[in-house]
Amino acid sequence: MMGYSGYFFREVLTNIRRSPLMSVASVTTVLVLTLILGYFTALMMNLEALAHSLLREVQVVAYLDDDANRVSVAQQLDRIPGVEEAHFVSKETALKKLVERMQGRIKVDDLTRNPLPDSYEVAVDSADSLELVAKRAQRIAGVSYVKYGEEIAQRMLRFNSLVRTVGVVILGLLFLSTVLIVSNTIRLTVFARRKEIEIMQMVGAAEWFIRWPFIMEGVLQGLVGSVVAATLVGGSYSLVVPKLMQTITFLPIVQAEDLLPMLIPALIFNGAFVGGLGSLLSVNKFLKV
Amino acid sequence: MFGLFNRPELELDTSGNVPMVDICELDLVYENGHQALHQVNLQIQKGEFVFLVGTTGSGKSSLLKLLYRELRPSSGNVLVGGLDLGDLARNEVPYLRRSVGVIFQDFRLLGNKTAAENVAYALEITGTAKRKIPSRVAQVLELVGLSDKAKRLPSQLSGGEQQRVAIARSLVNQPSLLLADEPTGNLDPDSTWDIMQILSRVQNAGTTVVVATHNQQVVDLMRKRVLVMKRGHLVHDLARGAYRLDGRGSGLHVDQPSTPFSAVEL
Repeated sequence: MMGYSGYFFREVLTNIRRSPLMSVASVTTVLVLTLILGYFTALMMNLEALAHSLLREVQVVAYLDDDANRVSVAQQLDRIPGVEEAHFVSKETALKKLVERMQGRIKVDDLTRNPLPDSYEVAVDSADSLELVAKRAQRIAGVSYVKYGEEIAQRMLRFNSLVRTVGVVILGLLFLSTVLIVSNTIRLTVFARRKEIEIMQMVGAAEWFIRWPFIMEGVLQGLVGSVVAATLVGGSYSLVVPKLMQTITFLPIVQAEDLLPMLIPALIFNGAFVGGLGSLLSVNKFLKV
Repeated sequence: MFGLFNRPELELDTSGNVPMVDICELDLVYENGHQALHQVNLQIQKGEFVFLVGTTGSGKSSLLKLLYRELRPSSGNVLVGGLDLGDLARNEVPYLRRSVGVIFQDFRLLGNKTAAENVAYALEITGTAKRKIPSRVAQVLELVGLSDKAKRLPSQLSGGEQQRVAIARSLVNQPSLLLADEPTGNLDPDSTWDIMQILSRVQNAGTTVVVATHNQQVVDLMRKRVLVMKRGHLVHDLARGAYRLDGRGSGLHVDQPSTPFSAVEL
């Protein structure tokens, strides 16, 4: 391989010098498609974060018998796998919250006694644990009944997996179309050199020997296009997100420093890969034996 | 690695114990149903010089393409140096082509490389050590009489000179078989004569040479073995000197028919 690498490198440079416009076309194609891919991935990640944060809100509430041992219940709740935190809400607090929520339509004075039980609000680590935690909590002595947003949780879970499936499908389609478009663009440069390929085959060049300079050219063009695109995606994301977070405080936006260290290398790698694969596909069209 | 070094075992038998070319009951049918070659049987020995003549569409080019495995036989066998080309795997084809040189009417040089670079290219692809390349290139360029024009681009050379570069390129890997498809089709008579002399020298150096042409004058003057093709059939196989131009230069006169096909009208 070492003996050939000089040859390959020379070939690539010569080709780019000879058809700079074609290179610009390939680079631009990768750039635009990587931009789309980048922004779409960012959107997907945010949608998923949103779905997750909505699920966080769902919790298990365990209502206690009047004579229950608070401490013992708390200890047993803590021992259930999946439980992150059990927060005690006394009957007095519960009543206060209720009155607040009803906005004056009931008054504490109207009540001869507080009808609400003490309770624990149990936060779980993931939506998948909700059902199990609820069942185990029900079995604890002193817990009268358990409530959790069953229906909401189910809907959230479905939304979450829908987002994920649709996202993966769209990303897959984007990737495929990128490969096809890039390979079509590169095919023009290969077509311009089909005579050369014919001659190479005629004098006995092995197929991989013919392919490598083209593949390297594709990788290089893919790299240039995707580095520019990744820089644009990264730059705009880190500019826009802090401003969005100030204005839309209720949405859980993924921080730039959480997203970009993963997204940028992935985009660049994808660009190089797509460039190489596109080249390989086009050069194969002209390799006939 | 990367398919560059796993060179398949592929050696032509050049001992002379087997014919250089051995074609047996060969049929060639194109995908569109056109039958280009019918039941061709032919042997060419090591070191022979053979002309392949016939009108356009008679099957000359198809026959040559079968010999460097651009085409596969539809039925029958094509053996080159004892190697059955019908059995050749796709990744073995390049290695066959290093033992079989080919030149064409349109030269097929790389326009952006100089004469020397075009020749060197055929060595580079075989992984020849860099330090050995210049001397071997110089050697073949001298053989074709182009030492002084090594640094010219094809566009700065005459047709005859370009064809000489192509011959140099085809010879640089020391092929056992040299195939020429209308090598002088685009050349003036002087250049044509140059090329034929070079091909003769190649034969004298021990390489088997097969030249397809419809330049009857050349064929007549060279007085070599002649194979006559007509509509996909090999209709005459004339020994050295048995073929010459008739007086008016418009037809073919056969002195000593050496095959039973002599009744076929040409």
